[in-house]
Amino acid sequence: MNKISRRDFLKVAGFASTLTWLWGCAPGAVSTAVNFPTSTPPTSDDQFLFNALRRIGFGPMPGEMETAQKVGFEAFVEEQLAFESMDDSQLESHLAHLTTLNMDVQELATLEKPGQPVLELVQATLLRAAYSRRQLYERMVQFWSNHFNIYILKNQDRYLKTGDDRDVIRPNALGTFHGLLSASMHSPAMLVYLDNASSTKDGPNENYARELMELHTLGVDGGYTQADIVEVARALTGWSVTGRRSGDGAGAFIFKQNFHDENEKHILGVDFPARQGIEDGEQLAALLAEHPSTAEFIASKLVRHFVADAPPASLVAKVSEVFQTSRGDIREVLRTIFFSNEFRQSLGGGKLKKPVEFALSVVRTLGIKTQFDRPTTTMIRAMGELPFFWPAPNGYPDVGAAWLNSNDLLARWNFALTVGTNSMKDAIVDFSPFSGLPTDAIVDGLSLQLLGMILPDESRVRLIEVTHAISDIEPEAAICALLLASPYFQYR
Amino acid sequence: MKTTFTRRDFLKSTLALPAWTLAPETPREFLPRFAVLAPKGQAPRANILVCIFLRGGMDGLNAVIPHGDSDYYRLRPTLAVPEPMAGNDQAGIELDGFFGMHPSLRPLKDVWDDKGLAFIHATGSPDPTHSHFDAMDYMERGTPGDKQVGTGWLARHLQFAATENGSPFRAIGFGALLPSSLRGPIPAIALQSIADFHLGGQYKGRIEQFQTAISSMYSADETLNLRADFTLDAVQLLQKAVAGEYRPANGASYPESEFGESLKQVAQLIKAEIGVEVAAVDLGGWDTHVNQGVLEGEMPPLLADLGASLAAFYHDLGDGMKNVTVVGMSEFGRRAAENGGKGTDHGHGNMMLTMGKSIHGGKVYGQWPGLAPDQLAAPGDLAITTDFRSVLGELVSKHLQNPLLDQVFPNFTNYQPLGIAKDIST
Repeated sequence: MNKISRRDFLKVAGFASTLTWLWGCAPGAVSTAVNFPTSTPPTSDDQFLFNALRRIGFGPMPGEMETAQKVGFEAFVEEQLAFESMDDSQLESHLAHLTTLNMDVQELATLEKPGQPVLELVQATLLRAAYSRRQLYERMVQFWSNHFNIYILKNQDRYLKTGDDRDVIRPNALGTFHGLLSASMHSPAMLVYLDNASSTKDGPNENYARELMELHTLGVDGGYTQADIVEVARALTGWSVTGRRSGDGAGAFIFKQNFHDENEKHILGVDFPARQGIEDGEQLAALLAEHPSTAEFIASKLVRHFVADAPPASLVAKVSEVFQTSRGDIREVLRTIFFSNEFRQSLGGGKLKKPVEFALSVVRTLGIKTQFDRPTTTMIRAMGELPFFWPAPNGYPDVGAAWLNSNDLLARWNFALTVGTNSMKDAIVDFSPFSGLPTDAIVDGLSLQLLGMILPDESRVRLIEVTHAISDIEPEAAICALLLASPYFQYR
Repeated sequence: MKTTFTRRDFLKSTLALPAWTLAPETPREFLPRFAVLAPKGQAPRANILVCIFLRGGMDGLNAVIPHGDSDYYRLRPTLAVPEPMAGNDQAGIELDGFFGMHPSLRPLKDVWDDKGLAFIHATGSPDPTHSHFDAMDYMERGTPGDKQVGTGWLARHLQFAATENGSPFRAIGFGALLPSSLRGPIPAIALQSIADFHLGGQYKGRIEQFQTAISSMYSADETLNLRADFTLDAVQLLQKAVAGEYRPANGASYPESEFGESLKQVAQLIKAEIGVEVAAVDLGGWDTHVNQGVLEGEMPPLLADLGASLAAFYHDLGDGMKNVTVVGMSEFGRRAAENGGKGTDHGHGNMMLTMGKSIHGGKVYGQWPGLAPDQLAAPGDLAITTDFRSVLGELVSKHLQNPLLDQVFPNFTNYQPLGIAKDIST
């Protein structure tokens, strides 16, 4: 069977590097020969690397695979962990029009279009994930946003979430867990979302106290009691937001001394002396961040995210230990995961892409230019996920079983079939380098680009046959759509 | 020889025949009375259960108010709903002299008077958790305190009810994600919108070509393949069965809310007679720790949506409600005393509702435990006198004609039906 001839190969290679150039995503890759669309299947090393890239990031942009091949897996991980050193200036042009990202809360609260901060924050999240070179960093931003979930349509969170994203999640996403937790506890958006802003010594509100332990730190089986919840609620009385009742949209953190319960507290077996004021909350942050249950809970969530829906206990134990010895150093924890045998062995399947991950991988592996305007985000939302739109504090589920249903599958296919056949105005695929190529060459070239592999024979032959039978769709569009809809593309 | 009717057969029959005729040669373990789908309009069909989950912990004490209990007014100085009073439409709506409905549920008054609505009070899950997520899991799996059972109670009902129904629309969950109650070996449809349930892009209308093209790729992935096949069957069936704009009957008017829209689509699918046996619909937002409100605030608009949507569904289906029962529940109730933020914290006992024409309606069921300090459950909650599984179990056994309650609710030994459901006698 003929696969790709040399002439075809050059055309395919040209397709990929054209996109690289357009996007400037992988400096250094532009002049490098694209070497994975070859007439032989990729080696197992290439396959490992491709799978690792789509597990750690949101799917390799054209050209990124070649860059990673040059430095190797370990250096790739280290570069991603040291994200501050990566030049990401090209990203700014994608975000320049999103003016609300840098506004202070007064400006945000008084905008003429109240929905503007919501739409722009969703767009910014998708654009950053799609076009930043700091792929691991953006993935961790999404992970923590989901862990410390805030429903963006709840009351003032419409405009407060912008600050939470900018000042709480993003600066701490690869820092320490204690730093991240403490920032979240001071976050006006969180204090409003879980009702702590109105909690006073005369009526302590249990909502935030409970979720802080159940969802953010210890986990539901982490060893706290209803009495602990009441004590935590008392410790956090007075942790509030400015001007909430004045209606002027103010929204900065404030500790209201006169709302704070100054009596002593007893939390998780630890005494909190009387008259500590705001220190109660700071002591609580440290207690929770360093609690062994927190280490295990965060370790299991991270391993679930990066390794398997059923996290291997061996790795969770190891990661939990590193979490404790490194005092919650998120980079150390991630390093432990990525360089583990469990991670390596889990690649090539197992983790179903969540809808946003799926959409981002379509955009990235095809090198599509999109602004994530309404038609695109509407289609993503139809799959059931959009950043910040999960109403409950537990965040979107991170296991495939939750997503594997008829609504999600059909919506995925429709995203694939719409974008893949170039039927979306906001997301144009440039297929021109493929025009005129034989069908089998298109199938192999696109398989390598989208899946990092040549299709198994039976699927490959069937795809070629069907493409021939569909005469009124351009073969490259017909093939591309079907590959995106295929099971191979549903995993990361 | 044992014959079973597969989904594929079902699809063929619906596409090829004007009506479906199924005659299983050998019954399974048992065969419910109306188990076999009969030709449209010619014979009774399997009964249908619609499950409403009110997510977030609905405050049953303010939805169905115990106005005859003075402790209610003592515990809720700013949040209590006023006692029913003739001519005052901002007060509770009288039900039985002890309980009343929140005024925002007014659209349901007709249904109550029609004896199509019943409440159960002081009910819920016996597990003491106050965590939303554990409590929802326990209730939807039907296994309080037990996280080992991975399937939902509705899924187990479907699994053990040999209804010989191969329709992919046997079970529908409205929303992007399937609720835990429907997770199990029998695939259920997750559906957000009938109008959007078709292939898109340039493949619109080319479902067979798409299916041929992807089937070989999906065949290598067993998990995804089953869902893919199932989804494509459902898309094809829905295209044939549901066409054009839906007009509710009897002048019923659904609110333009997500919940109202979902219930309208449940009605549409039931009327299309494509084999629906159970449907699950969510209404969220009940976690009213702050600003719960009496007539204004977080809770009244939710009650208004709930009441208007349910009433529209009842009137839309009309006599069809003889075969359809609605049951509503929430993961837990809320603390009996209001908190300092004019809201309520997580509680325990709650109310449930049932609606339809095969229930004995117009009655509030259950034993009222009282709200005095020594009558409350820790840390200050309405106690539970009826296990929610007794309510659901009665609907499963009487309405859905499935006697295998020990499969649907494993390890449930305290089944005490309240006599809500009518016996099906003919």
